[in-house]
Order: sequence, then structure tokens, then C-alpha cells
Amino acid sequence: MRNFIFLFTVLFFQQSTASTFVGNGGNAGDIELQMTLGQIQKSLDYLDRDKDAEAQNLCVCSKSFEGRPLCDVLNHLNSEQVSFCSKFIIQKAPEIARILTQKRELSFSWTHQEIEVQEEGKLRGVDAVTNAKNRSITLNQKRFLEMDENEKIFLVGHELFHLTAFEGKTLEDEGEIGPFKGVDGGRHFINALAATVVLQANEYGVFRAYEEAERRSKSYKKNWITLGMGSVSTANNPNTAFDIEKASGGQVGYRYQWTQEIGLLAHFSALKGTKKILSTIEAAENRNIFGLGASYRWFPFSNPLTASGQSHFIFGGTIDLLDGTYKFHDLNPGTTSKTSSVGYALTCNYFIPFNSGVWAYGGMGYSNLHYSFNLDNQMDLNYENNGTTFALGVSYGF
Amino acid sequence: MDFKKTLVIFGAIYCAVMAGCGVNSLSDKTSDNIIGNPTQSVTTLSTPDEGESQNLVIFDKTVRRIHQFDLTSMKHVRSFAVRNPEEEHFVLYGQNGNYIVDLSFKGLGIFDRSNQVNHQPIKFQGVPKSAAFLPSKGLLIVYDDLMSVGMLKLDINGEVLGSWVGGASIVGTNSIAAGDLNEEGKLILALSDGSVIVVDPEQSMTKKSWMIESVFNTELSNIKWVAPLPKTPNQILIRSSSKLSLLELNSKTIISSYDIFDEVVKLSKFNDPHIVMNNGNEVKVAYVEKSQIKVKTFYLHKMKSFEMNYLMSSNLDLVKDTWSFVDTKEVVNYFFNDLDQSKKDRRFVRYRFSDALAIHNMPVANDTQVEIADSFIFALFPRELGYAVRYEVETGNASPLERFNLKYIPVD
Repeated sequence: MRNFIFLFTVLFFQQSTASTFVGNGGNAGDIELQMTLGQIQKSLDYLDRDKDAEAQNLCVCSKSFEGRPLCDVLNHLNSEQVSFCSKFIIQKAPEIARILTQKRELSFSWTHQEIEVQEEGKLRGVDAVTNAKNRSITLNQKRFLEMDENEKIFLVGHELFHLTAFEGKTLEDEGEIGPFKGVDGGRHFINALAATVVLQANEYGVFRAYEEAERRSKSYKKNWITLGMGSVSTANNPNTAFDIEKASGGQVGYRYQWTQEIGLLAHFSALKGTKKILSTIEAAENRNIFGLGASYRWFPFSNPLTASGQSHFIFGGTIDLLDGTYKFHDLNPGTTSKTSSVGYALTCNYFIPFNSGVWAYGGMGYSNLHYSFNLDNQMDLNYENNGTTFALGVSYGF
Repeated sequence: MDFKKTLVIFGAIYCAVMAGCGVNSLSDKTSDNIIGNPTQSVTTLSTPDEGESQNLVIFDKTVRRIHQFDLTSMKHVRSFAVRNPEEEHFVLYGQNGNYIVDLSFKGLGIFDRSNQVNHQPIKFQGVPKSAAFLPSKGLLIVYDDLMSVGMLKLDINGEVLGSWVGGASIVGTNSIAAGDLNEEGKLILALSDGSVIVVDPEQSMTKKSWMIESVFNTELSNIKWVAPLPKTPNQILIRSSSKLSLLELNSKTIISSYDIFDEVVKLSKFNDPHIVMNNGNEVKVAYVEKSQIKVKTFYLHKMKSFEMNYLMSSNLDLVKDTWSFVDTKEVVNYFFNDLDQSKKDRRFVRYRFSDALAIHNMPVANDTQVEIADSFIFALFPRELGYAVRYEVETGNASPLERFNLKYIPVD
């Protein structure tokens, strides 16, 4: 009988230190876990498909893993244990694969705290625990993300076999199971099963199917830096020739993704617009805009292992501060006017993942910055129309 | 054919050629049949009766608007859009009433002191080509290329009090050859037969017909140019085919005359009426002093310091004892003052007239529309935002006026 207790350092903070796997890639590790589950499922599917083949060498080390720790688990098995392990895994493969396809039957959650389980009256640190009764698995997020693909399959595979039973009894780490004797017989058995899943995953090459998803930038990052080109267009002011209807330039931004949906935004845009008036008058306007606000993130597609599933919309609202300069001249030196204003902007940007944390984004928005330049103490150049903004650039999430 | 006969024939041919290319042919260039000054020569900085003004009105050929500047405070006062801006426009300014007359090839308009415009107070069938303006009496005479004479009587605000358009044939079968208003407000007209008539324009406008005060024959032939003297309005300087004559209206006699042998290069009413002649070796200025026509000669020293180029404007002020002119290295062929006929390589030169001492010599900014006063040169640069500079003749100091067009740039 396995009794385990979650001993989180501060129980009060359980909500803030743990998060539920939501399947859309919003949390760190979600995608990696999806990939691991997919790799396990495919491996078990292949294993079930080939269960009648004669050359099945299950629960034994393969050449490619000789000398690696994973094979230590299998090399210590006697022939009876190998046979038992092989039959069990072939028998349970469809069951686990089915569980993985039935997402409602299994839940995962992340924790940032150390997980300890009580076994034989002692506490032991682990990377994951399974509550077979609730059919839930809790993973240490940090440790999981540090693991390579084989280690992840081993860990999750181990936990999944806790959901299976032998002779009506759920598999546990403690106690004997079949030919696996001794107090740690259960652990050795489950480790052998998990190691076999790892070997099968390599044998069937399931990692290749997820290479792209592995490389692809992931949306769960907390910090986002954007760098791009922006522009703002305003309707022509019919009262003057001096209004510059379009300005464009560079923009940098930072977003802190506070929760899965909500983020905090800051951006700075340095835009410049020019205009030729009549034949020799040249006007130029510089708009430096600093904005601060919040954002809402929405994933339009569900599968986080695909580019479309990782892509998302960021709806932003910012309070914008404008520092503007207007210069004009003809063949003679001209004059300069300055202004400042406060307004707001609503934006919608669509983020598309590249690799290694890099994203592309593009979008448009609405700006209601209204301001006025006094030109040479003779006339006021008023910008009273709301503007349409466009943005295109790259982003890096980390 | 012996040598003598050959010599006579070639001599006759030579004389004919000289006559064709010399004085007579140049005289033909003056046969513009103008009343007052040609439209290109009108200036707002100075009128015979009101003298020099510190308010300058100019048609800006770059933005096709009329500007008024106060050159005392160096401010742009007001600006007007004009009808038919694509046409050439010429402006007259009445200091007392602060009104502006806009003359164009398609008619005239009057902008009053409150910026209201009266378009076409009189209608011409032809193109206005010359005008005589006497703002102190509110009289404006406009002569068109179909020989119609338009008359306007304006009040101090530029309101039209009377108007009439008359034909050029006034007495008998003769028509107007030249004319101008004298300071007393009489219209002095020389006719094609050499006779001179004095017309009362105000009465003519009232009666809607030519009201002639006197008619007499001068015995002059082919009169080209008539210039009433500003300080002695009964004396008229007349340029005929080969003679410059001073006519006394009261006695109806020619009291002084000068036979013109040299090429006439300028006919000017800028301050004191005068003509400038150039025979290649000398420049001669003929003028009236103490009821006598006098001629002052300036010797040309080619390749040396005094080398008059093509004369664009000549200004003789006997009271201030100055003769000022603007010339250019570009070839220009116009007998009346026109500072904008060339806009390159222009030079302003001023002499103390009595002893021919050169006292000022300064370049005129290229590409600018220029107006010249006694103490300064005003140059309007071709800038869409507006840029003009007042250059002091004495010091050369430049005072700019900038961006006065800003409010008037048309919307897009």
C-alpha cells in the first residue's frame, strides 16, 4: 500500500505555486508534456500493433542504449522478469493508450515545489506522483523541463503504469509484483516497463514526429520583447495642407505575461512622417509614443503542438504619451514646432511562432491621440482624427 | 559704273541699313501707345503724387497671390487670392485709402481696406496694357490693347464713385498715341496727328463722353511717349520720333527740345521723367531742369569700371540728386522699367547725379521679384512658404520676412 503525502512548503500557496495542465500550451512544460504523452501513446500504439511479431525483444536493453543508465534497469532482470515484463506491457499498452486518448480520464498538474512521498515511514524526494484514485499526475515543472526526451518518457511512463493494475491491484512502488520480489519489487517492475517504453519510442522513431514542435517557439514564456515596424494613418484634414497622414518607423515593446491570458504591456514607437507640399515645401513630423497598458491573449486554435495552435492573438490597450516634433521648410531654412499629448490605443496583434523563442507578429489597431502643433505662431495644425495603426515585426519570448 | 557711283550706291545702302537698325528701328519699339506706364512697369512703392510708400504691394508670381507688406515694421500685412491667378497680375496701391488695384490680362479688381474686392468695376474687351494712377485724386486710367480707355474715380476707401470707358478716337479721325495723368488730375493725351488734348476725366465719367478742356497742335510727329512733370504739372515731356520736347500746356508751346541721335534704351517716369540713351561710347540721360531739357553724359569705359549692361530700370531723383539704375548681363529689350524682365546678374548702381560720383553698387539677388525705393531694395524670393528681404542701400543690411505664405498654402 502506497501512501503519499504532498508536503509542499507552504500549503497556502498551493494555488499560486501549482498550475493545471490546460492542454493549449499556456503553461511552461505544457507542450513538452503533450509531446511526451504523444510519444508514449505512439510507442504503445506501435507496440500493440506489433504484439504478434516474433522478433519482439521487450524489456531488454537495445544496442543503442548499451552503457546508459536506462539499461541498468533492464540488465538486472532475469529471464522470468523479462518475460513477465513483456507480457504485461503488451497487455497494458492498449489500456494506457486509451487513457491517453481519453483526456477526461486523466489530469495533470504542475508544481514548482519539491515533491516528497512517504514510503516505509520515510520521506523521499520524487519528480512526479500519481494519485491513481483520482487519476491525476502531479509533476515538478522545473525538473521536468530540465529532462531530455528519454527521461521525460521514462518519468511520465512510470507514472502512467501506476494507473494500471495487476491481479486487481493498482501497481505501486512498494511491494512485490509477480517475479519482481522484495520491498522495491514494484518500483523495479514499473521502472522496467517505463524503460521499455523509452526503448520502443526510440525503436519506432516517434521523436522525429515531434522534432518540429520541439524546436518551435512556445507561447508559455513570461517575458516578451518585440521589435518591429509600425505605422499610423490618419484621415486627411481638409482644412490644411500641412497634416501628415502617415507616419512610420520602429517600435520596441515589452510584455509580461502575467497569467495565461492577461499580460502587462509597455511599448515605445519612434515614427516619422514626411510630406511634400506644393513643389518645394517639405514637412516632417516625428512622433515618439510611449505606451503602458494591459493585454489579453487568445489562442484561436487548440493543438499546441502545431504552429497554428501556438499562434495567438494579443489584444492590447495602452495609455499613450506623445512627444511630437514638426519641421517644415522650403528652399529656405524652416522652423520647428513641438507638442505633447495623451491618448489611448487599442491594438490587435497576431503572433506566429518561429523557432528558438522567436516569433513574428503583425497587426493593426486604433489610436485616438489628438494633438496640435503651432506653426510659426501663425496657425495651428490640428490632428483631430483617430488613427489606424499597423505593426509588423519579430518577438522573442523567454 | 565708276568708283564714285559705286560709293554712292553703297553709301545709300549703308544709310538705309543704319536708318533701319538705328534710331528709327529702336523708336518703333517704343510705339506701344501707352497711357501712364505699361502694366509691367507699375510700382506700388512710389507714385508721382503720394511719393514713396512704406507699404509695398506685390503680386507673388510663385504662389500667385497679392501680398501687402509694411516695410516700416517689417510685417506681412495681408494677402489676397486673385481671380485668374494663372495670368500675369500687376498691382497699384493707394497709400491714403489703403486699397489695392489688381490689374491682369483679364481685367481689374479693387481690394479695399477691409479686404473686400470689387471685381471688374469696368469691363474691357481687350487686355489692359497700361495704366495711369493718381491716388491722391482717386483717379485710375486703364488703356487696353483694343484702344479702349477705362476711367475710374475711387474714394479714399477704394469704392468706385464713377467710371466710364471711352474709345481712342477723340477728335476728328485721330486716335490716342500716348498719354498720362498730371498731378492736377488732367488726362494729357497725344494724338496720332501730333496734337495734344487735355481731358477732364472726372467730368468725362460724369458725362459719359470725352470732356475736352483744350486741343492744340504741337507740330510734333509720331508721338510715342508723354510724361507730365510731377512738380510742374503743366509741363509735359514728350518723346516723338526723333525728338524729346518739353511742352508747356498753358502757353501750348514747345519750350525746350532735344534731337535724339543715339539709341534710346529707357523711357522712365520713375520720380523725374527722363530718357536714357546709349551710343556705345556714352550713356546720356535727358531730363528737365528749370524748364529746360538737359542731357548728362556718362562715358562708357569698356572693360573698365563703368560698364552699363542691359538697362532694366532707371530712377532719376533731382531733389535727392541721385540717378539709380538696375542693369543685367542678360539681353533685355524693353524701353520701360521692368525689374523682373531678367532675374539673373542684376546690379543696382546709384550715382550722385550732379557730379556723376558712383555712391552705391550692389548686386540684386537672383531669381527675385524686385521693387526699388530710395533707401532700400525689396526682393521677393520664389519661395512657396514666402521669403522676402529688404536690403538697405546705404548699409547693405538685410532684413528678412519669412513664411508669410504659411496661412495661405492651399489645402490638399
